[in-house]
Amino acid sequence: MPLFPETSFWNKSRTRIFGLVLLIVIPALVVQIIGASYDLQQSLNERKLESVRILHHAQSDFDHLLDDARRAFSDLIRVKEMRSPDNCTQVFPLLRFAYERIAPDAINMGLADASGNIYCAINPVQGDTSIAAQPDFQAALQTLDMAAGVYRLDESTNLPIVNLSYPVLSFNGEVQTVIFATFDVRWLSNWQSEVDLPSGAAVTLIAPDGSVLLRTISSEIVPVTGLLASAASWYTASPVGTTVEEGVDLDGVTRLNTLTPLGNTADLHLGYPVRELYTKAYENLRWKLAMMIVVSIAALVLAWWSSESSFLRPLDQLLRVVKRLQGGDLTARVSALRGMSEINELGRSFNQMTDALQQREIERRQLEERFRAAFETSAIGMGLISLDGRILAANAAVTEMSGYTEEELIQRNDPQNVYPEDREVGQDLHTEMLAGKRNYYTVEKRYVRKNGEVFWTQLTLSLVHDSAGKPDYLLWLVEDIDQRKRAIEELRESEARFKAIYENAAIGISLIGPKGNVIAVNPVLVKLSGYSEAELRRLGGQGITHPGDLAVGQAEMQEILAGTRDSYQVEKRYVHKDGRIHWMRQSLSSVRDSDGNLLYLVVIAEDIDERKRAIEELRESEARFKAMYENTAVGMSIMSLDRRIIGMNQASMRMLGYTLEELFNTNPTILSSPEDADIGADQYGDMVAGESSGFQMEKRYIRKDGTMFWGRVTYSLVRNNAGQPDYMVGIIEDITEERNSNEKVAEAEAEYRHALEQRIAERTTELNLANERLQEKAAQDAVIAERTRLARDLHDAVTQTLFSTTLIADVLPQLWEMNQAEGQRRLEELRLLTRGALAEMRTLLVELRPNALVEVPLPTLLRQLVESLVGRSRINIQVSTEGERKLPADVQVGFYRIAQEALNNLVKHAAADEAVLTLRMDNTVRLSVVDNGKGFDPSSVTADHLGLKIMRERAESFGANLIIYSEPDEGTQISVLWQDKLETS
Amino acid sequence: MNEQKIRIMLVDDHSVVRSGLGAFLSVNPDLELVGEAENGEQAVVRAGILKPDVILMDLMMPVMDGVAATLAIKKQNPAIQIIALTSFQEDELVQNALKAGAVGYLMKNVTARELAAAIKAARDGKMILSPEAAQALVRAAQQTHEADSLTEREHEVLKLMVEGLNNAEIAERLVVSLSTVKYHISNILMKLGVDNRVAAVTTAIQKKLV
Repeated sequence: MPLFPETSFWNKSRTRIFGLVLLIVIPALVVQIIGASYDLQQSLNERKLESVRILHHAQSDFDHLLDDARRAFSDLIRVKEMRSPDNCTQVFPLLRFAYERIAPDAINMGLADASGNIYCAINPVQGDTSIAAQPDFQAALQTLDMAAGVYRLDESTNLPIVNLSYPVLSFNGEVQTVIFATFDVRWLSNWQSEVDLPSGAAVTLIAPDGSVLLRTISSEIVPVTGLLASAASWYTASPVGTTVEEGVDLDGVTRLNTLTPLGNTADLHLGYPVRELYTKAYENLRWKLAMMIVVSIAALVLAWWSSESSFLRPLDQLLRVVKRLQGGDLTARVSALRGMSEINELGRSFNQMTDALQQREIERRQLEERFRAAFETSAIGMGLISLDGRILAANAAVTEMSGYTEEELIQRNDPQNVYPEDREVGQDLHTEMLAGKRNYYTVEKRYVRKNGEVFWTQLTLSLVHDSAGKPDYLLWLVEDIDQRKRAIEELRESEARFKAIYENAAIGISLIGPKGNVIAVNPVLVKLSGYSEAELRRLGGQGITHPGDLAVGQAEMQEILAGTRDSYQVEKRYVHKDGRIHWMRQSLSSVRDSDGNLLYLVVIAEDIDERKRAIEELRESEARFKAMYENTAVGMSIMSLDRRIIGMNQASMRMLGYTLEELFNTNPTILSSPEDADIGADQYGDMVAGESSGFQMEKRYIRKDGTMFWGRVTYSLVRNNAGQPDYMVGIIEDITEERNSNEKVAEAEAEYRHALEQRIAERTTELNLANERLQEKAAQDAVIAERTRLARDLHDAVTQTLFSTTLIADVLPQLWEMNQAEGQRRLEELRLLTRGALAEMRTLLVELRPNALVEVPLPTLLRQLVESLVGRSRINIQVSTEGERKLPADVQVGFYRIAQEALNNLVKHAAADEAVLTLRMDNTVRLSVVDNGKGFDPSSVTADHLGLKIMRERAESFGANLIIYSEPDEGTQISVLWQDKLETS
Repeated sequence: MNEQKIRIMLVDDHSVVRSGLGAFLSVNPDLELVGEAENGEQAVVRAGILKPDVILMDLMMPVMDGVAATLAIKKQNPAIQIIALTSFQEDELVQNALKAGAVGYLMKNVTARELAAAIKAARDGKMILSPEAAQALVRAAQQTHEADSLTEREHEVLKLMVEGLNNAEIAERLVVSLSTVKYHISNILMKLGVDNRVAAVTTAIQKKLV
């Protein structure tokens, strides 16, 4: 923008000043001129008035003249002699007297008769002696009053004279005499000299016919004979009165002309010179003008000079320097100005300003350099974006981040490379910013790199304004926060998890300072200890420790404080606020700074009270079991799955003659006699594999003292919580008496006594080994269950039945009385129950004495079995047996066991009310159990369900065929077939 | 006395027992059978619905035993009187049954007449104990006394004895001398009224001293 217009400052100001001066001078001049012309006009007017006045003066003088004449005449006529005027001499003195009254103006006076003949005159009359032709004489005769004639030129003098005639009347009114007088223009001269006419003034006496009679200019008579007044512009045919007009006079000179009638005698003209006025006015003006011009010039010069030096030159200097500045020259400075102080001040200020400007420019450039450097080298992406969203520039970080080059970014239509979903993110903030409501905004958005990768960025867009305050462009900051975001997310998650643990885990967490002061505790710890956070801080860990356990962990703590250890675990007792003692497991870890100094300890406390108590309880119950186990008269032992003795009760020890220490962890098979060592091995394997829950066997055992005895062993598998085989319980019974006679025990005894002695090793018993296994609650449950089962098996069934029978027996009489039918029914029940109880007893005995299973014939056994069930169930079981024969022991036992299993199933699962057990014994032995119960679908039932597997295996074990037939709602049939092999060879 | 029949529910897992009790109830005009249950769970549910006056509760049952069922029923309906009818007489069982809220404890050798009397007494809120139950309670009382009288150290020693440790091991565990342990054990034997450590262990287990 140009600071000044094209015309030079000099010219303009010059013109201005000149114009200014002129502006003042010219009006002044004009005013002067107007004033002068006004004055002129005034003088002219004055002159006009004067001339009118003067002429009126003349007029009045003339009138006076006439009046004097009249008086003189009238006085004259009074005299009687005048009335008869024949005698001149008589009247001559009177005439003279009257004449002298009007002389010197009158140049003659006389008398004339009525015909006009002059008969008396003062002065001799030359020429014509009749005035009869005179107009005045005629007028007088007519009007019988004084009458004046007109001025005419005297022939002799050539001067204007005028006659006056005065009629004298007789008594009869007839004109007797006419007095006449003749005047000249003496009075005019007098008048002229009286009025003091200016030089150049013209007086003209004009006869009524228009001829000039007399003319004087500057009181000098000017010969004008024969000249007509009409030559003058001011003369009109009729007397104009007393208007004054400027006009050209008879001699061509412009005068102020006034014309006035002297009665009828003549017109008198006065011409006042005007040239002199004009000249005077002009000269006046000229003088004034000259003066003014001089003054103006002086003023102009003065103004010029003063402005020039005061501010024009300095300003011009300043202006030139400013133009240089405008041209970009920041070094432009104005040298010391010598002008008005304000201008000088301006010059100095300008210099200062320019200094500052230059400084700022330097700084700006530096800043720009720095910014550019920063822009380019910044690790954060920076760019400039136009208001309509195009990228104008982008630094290296942006190109690296986005994968595009700067050119590509500038050219792309969608410069922001925004992930489509995030296009709208921040749009509202952007609009607000453009509307001026905010200066910048920050959002997080996903961008897409050139290679298609999506990454999270943090954007900051700020609006940059130009110097006028209008939005100019946008500054764009992009930071790749992908890693950070992921890290933050992970951190947030892990923090949340930690917090959840800290807050919610059922673990008490506390932070302890190096001096043992409590820094923080989590809510769980507060709950576990019963103390509030403030109390815990006050008491510290020691404050709530059980007195007996204060020393626990102290050594390890010292090690931590000394720095030789980083963590340790202890179990100690704490005293809850309510006084209860709890076992806690504490884990302490140290947190150190980079120098290894202890910052604080993290203490994690777990209430293991329940667990410890559970352990205690378990131990107790185990102990109880053990007591029972110890005290029972039946030999009991506990075996590991790999068939090693891990427990024995007193009875078994007595039976075998060994202590537990001696037999611990040994395979009981070593106790058996060599021939019988294999007995039961297979069944043992099945049981261990979980395929059977137990088995029974009879074999010979060698006592410590070398004696041999027959033992019947019943093994049962104990499963753990998960149903997996855990360990085995074995019940041993001495059946030597039964068998002694059939065996030659003595030989074997002696043989193996020593061998066994060598084998037994000294062992310390730790029930802890068994305890550890039993430590799981499931073991406890299993043990309890086992115990319960044993107890029940041993006592319960019979007791219940007997109790019932007792009750019924008690009330039977009353019942019979009340209702015989009911009584009979109950009696029958009684009978059944009693029989059932008995049969159950027998069955139990049979269970305890497995030999019975072999000695007693199978049909009897089966009948007993069925009977024993009668008491327990309401099923009507028919037994049908045919044939008799001896069966091998295992076959018989096998059949018995299968029948037992089948019947148990029947009672438990079949939901039948009728069943038939059939036994046919011949070369083939056939056992079948049929019921009318609900049956089952063999394909959908797994083999080991319903003990079917057990039955099947048992059948296989002694070479029998097991056939199971069942259908839903059709009942079940189980058949076992065995053929005597020897007979079918 | 109350003219209305006493409403009775039978809870036992053996049907023979329920049958016998049913016969017994049928001859007593002032006793009425209103319901039966096979286990504790059923008992709780049915007691809640039927609201009998007296329940004859067997203690050894599958699913939920009699003690638990007693607890639950007494919580729901404190007015129901429960007589424990069982073949077991362990001190602990007696204690638990009574603590659970049973008003009576009878063995399954009780006569019909005794049972009838007991039911009536129970309905009136009188406690009925079979001689065996009474003995168990007495033993319990004695035992507490006995247990209290053991010092803490003796308690610890006894505990370790029950665990199966021998004297030397006990001494090591408790960080005392062998003679100290023997001293403690002799005191224990005296206080428990036994003469050998096995008996002491047995007593300790039976009476739940540890």
